[in-house]
Amino acid sequence: MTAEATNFLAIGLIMGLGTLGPALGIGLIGSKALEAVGRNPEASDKVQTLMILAIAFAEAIGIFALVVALILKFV
Amino acid sequence: MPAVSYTPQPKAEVIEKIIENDTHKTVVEDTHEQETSEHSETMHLFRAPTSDLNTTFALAIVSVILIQYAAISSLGIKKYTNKFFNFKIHKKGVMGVFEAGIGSFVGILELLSEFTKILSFAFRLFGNIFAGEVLILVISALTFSLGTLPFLGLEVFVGLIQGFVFTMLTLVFISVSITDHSH
Repeated sequence: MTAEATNFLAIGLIMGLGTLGPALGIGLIGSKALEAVGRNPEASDKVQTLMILAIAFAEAIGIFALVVALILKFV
Repeated sequence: MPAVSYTPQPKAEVIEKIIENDTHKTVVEDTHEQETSEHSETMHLFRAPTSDLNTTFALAIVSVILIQYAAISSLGIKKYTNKFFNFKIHKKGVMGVFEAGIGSFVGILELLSEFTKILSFAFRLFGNIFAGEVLILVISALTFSLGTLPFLGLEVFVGLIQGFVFTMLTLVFISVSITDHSH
């Protein structure tokens, strides 16, 4: 396997595996937030703000994988 | 920091190749391929400023400095430094030494997390906006010119959300940092 092929394989693996965890996390956060809103609809504003914050934290992990992949691809 | 010196030069070339015939590119271009004159510089007027890592780094540093300033001005310099360097032994015996060791290690981790905040702030905003640009690039390569329009709308929405997230995270970090943790 050439170095270039390894590079492309690494980019694919980084994006595939690195976004797996954040995707699961964001899904869990969203489902739990919807459950909470369904149980207590008056608190939906508060829940929504906290949900977006928690999603931003989970999303940051995926973004790190993206940045690493972009550095491998373009630099 | 080495990440600051990262310039997305190849990406600009790729974008130029794709949208070479488009009208919305503002280029001051020389016909010759010489880089000596200042006329050969390209300027992207419609690129988001936050799709450059330097901008988001500057914003993140301003944000983290604001957080530290709020913490110092409300806690005082002594309590502020105690949060990071806490080597006091509260109990006698082996357990006291053990707990002091854990406390000092937690303090060092806390100090490290202040620097990680800069990185996570900068990479979150940069990654989102830059990923949006790459997405629009890919979609514009796949479809005709109007096909990118819904994705442009999506990116405006993503930018709105990320601005909200940046502000809210700064607020949350400030409100965490001004609370007194010592007993």
